[in-house]
Amino acid sequence: MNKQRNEKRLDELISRTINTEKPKFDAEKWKQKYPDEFQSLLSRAAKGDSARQPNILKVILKSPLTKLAAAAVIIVAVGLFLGRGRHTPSGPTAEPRLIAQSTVKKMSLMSLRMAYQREGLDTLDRQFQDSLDALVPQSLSISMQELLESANGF
Amino acid sequence: MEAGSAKIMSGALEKEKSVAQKPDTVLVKAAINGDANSFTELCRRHYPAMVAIAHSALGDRHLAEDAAQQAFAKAALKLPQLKKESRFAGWLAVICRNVAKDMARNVGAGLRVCPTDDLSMIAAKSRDDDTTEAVREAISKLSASARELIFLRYYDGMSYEQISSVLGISEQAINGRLRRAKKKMADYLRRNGFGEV
Repeated sequence: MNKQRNEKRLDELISRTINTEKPKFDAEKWKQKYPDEFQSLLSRAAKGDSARQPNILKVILKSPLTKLAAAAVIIVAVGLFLGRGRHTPSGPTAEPRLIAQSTVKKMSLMSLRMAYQREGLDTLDRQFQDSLDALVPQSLSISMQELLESANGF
Repeated sequence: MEAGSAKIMSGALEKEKSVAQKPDTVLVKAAINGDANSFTELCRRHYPAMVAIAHSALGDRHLAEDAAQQAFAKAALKLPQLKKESRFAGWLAVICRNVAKDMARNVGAGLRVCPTDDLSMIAAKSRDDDTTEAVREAISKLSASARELIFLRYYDGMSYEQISSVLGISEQAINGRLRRAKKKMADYLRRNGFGEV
């Protein structure tokens, strides 16, 4: 009881010693006293929204989910870039491109294989057909020169 | 014309009222983006606490008010550097403490400490004014952090929660530190002939 009374008495004494009139902040006086600091505060508003736009790199790096999404986009883009020039034999082609020009070359095993590997079955078929067309019986009026040109492709 | 100006006045009052109701974190965000009203509201809210902190270091009310205002000026410049809006009060307190220390160094201010003999003589007279003087001396004998705590608690009757946000320590810690500080003061006063306080 005595201890409590003493504590209360000490509280009163401290309050009486320290407690003075509550200080009140005068904003107008402060603005006049520190005009540069106040202006610097206002200048941040004047800078506009552009200064406050979030940095896209920061946004991506903040969240693990956006990090993963960004990594996936990069991987897909790189994959598409690298695979751009490749064609598979089964892929569609606008016009079968002949590998060889002369009938002899067209009929060689290597030429036919290359035609299949590079351009697919359609090209192989066309090269084969061209070669067969060239081998049909020729008329007797054809000169030796024309026959050689037809067989050699020039 | 009068109706128009009255409308503008009431609009400004409404805006001021709405700013006053917002929590610190919202006001700090707005102030960082250059909203002067939000910043002045923050100053208004924390002014008593900052004056208390500065007063505990300077021992003079007018100097303490100057220090608190100077701290707000520094805060206005450094506000974009604040990392967490929720720590505004503690951050401001650090600035204010440093400003008060610099001011005390420059002005040569500080809580006056009188020799113990003088205090014994005051005790013999045992008048109310003299007791107040003795309590002031007892406060000046405390460590800077304990003195700051006493000022925050008794200057503006701040709650433990408010003190906690300013000092960045738990309410239990505040309670313990306050008890120890008051015990030291009571011991000091008892030793100097003020009987049971």
